[in-house]
Amino acid sequence: MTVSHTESPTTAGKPAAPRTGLTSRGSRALAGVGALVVAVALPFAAPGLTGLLVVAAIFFLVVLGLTLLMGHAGQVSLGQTLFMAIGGYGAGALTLSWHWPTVLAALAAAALSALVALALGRLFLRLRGYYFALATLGLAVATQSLASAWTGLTGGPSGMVAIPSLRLGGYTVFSDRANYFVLLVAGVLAAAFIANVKRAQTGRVLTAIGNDPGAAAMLGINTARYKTMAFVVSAVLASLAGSMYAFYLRFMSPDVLGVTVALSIVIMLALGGARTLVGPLLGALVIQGLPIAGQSFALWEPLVAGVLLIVVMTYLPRGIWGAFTGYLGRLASRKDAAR
Amino acid sequence: MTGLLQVLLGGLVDGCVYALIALGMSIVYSISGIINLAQGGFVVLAALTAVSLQQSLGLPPLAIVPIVVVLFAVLLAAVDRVVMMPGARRATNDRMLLITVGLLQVIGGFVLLVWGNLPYTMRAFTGGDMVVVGGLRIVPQYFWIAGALLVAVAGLWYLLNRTRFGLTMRATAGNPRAAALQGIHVGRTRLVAFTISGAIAALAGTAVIPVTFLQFTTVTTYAVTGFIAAVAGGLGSTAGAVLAGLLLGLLQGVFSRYTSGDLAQVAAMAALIVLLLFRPTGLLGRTSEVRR
Repeated sequence: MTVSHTESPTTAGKPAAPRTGLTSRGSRALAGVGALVVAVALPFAAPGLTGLLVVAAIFFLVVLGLTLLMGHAGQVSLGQTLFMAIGGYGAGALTLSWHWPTVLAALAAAALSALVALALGRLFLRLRGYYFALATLGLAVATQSLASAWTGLTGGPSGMVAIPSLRLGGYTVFSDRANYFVLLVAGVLAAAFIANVKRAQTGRVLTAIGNDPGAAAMLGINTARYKTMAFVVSAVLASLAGSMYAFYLRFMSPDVLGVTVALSIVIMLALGGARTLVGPLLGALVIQGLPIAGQSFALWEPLVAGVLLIVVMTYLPRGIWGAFTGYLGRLASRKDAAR
Repeated sequence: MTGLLQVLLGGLVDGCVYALIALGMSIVYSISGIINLAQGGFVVLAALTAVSLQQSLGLPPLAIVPIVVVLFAVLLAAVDRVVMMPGARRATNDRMLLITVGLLQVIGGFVLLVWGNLPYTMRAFTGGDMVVVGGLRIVPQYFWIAGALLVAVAGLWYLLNRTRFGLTMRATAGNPRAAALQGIHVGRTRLVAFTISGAIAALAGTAVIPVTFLQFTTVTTYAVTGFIAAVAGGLGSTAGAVLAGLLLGLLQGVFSRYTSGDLAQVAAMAALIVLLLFRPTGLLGRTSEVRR
């Protein structure tokens, strides 16, 4: 499934084109530093929003993991909640019953997620397009059902309670603000990693696979291997996010990881823009932030989110952020032409 | 033994609904290549609309059926014009899947707004006592549900194989470009496909609501289960949709007898994934549709 290869030929394949205005390397770095300053200042400037930011940051990690698989390789995974569940319940169970240190528990769960993704990827990625989306949707359904059926491990429908908070070298990450800063660091590291993969040959290979799997295979690319790798990356990030979710909420239940959540993860990615790093952030903020627009608005949230997705998918194929940068790019090239 | 048969019967009834959802998706897919993930959502919406209409108009439930069927035929035609057509003109069929995810979200949100998160049910179409056959208790409404499936299948078969317009539809399904070159108005054919899927959704919703409770959360459940049945049957195959829907219902029935309902879901999913791995195009799908 290819989300974003229909852009006009003038913008296609041009990496953030002309070196003027906001698109130049220097001002991009400046914008990055500015964004970081804002991100650090935010919980102090608006303390009431910190809880929301923590949840948005958790989903940013999940959505970011999908960019390689969905934005580039063109495979829609509707089942990322499976890996969030492994991360959440895994870290919870290891710390609760086995008294593992929290960081070790999260890493162990991430390793398990990687193995599961490797096995499932080998099976599923032979399926194409819709069939892969369906199989992963099956994972999301199975995740929710299994979470309530496997009472011994997960606590069933009433959930797993009293999960400890994250501990980093003797410091307990308990408050919203502390959780936010841990996630900020994790998010920046993850974004840097994904940006590197995108820029490296792997990213180009994945794009080629997304654009035309047949042609990519003819060039001698082992498409299944690359797609599986992207799937594993998405699983590890989702698992770590799931662990953080468990440590933050100190609670896990089947509702937290329902099919609706699985769908909304893909909505966040598509909404923001599937091929950029800012897109996932924007998507997570919009979808998680909608309910805070007001108590009565919370009731409207699913409806508005749906309309938003339809409008964006119809008119802005590269998502909100993709459309924005495309606009900036056109603006800059017009300036170039005028010069 | 009777207990098992009773469970199988219940599973079969659920399966009829899954089959109807898959049927609606299948007809739209074969004409337009669009997977309408929201089809199951429309079934729940139709059911809740029927409940509210029945309560406010005070009509007998059976009289509500044609009203809801017409209403949803028109609604889905409007959805095609307002949502699907602008989308399909710009987006690939692949991205259309995400648009229908959005549509499903819209339906869920609408249900939440109008009906809240409470379960609803309705009086049965006809009163009368349970029929007992060899210890097997059959609620009269079961016959109506099976009847709805029969009517939908027979109607579709007649339309597709015995009418001139059916020929047009089959031509469009086979190759939209060639059909357009032959002078077939593909857009209009698609509109009809959506209209039919709306009528089928209404039929399914009104038939099932007297024997179950539907609410905000069932929107996703029905959408997902219907999607699974449609794909398991082989996208675009009418017979496959019915077969897979019924099998899925039976499978869930059997598993829920021996395990918890949740594990039944997991088992159904595992069965589907195994099926897809061996037959990537579903039970009755054409292999040409999948290039490896």
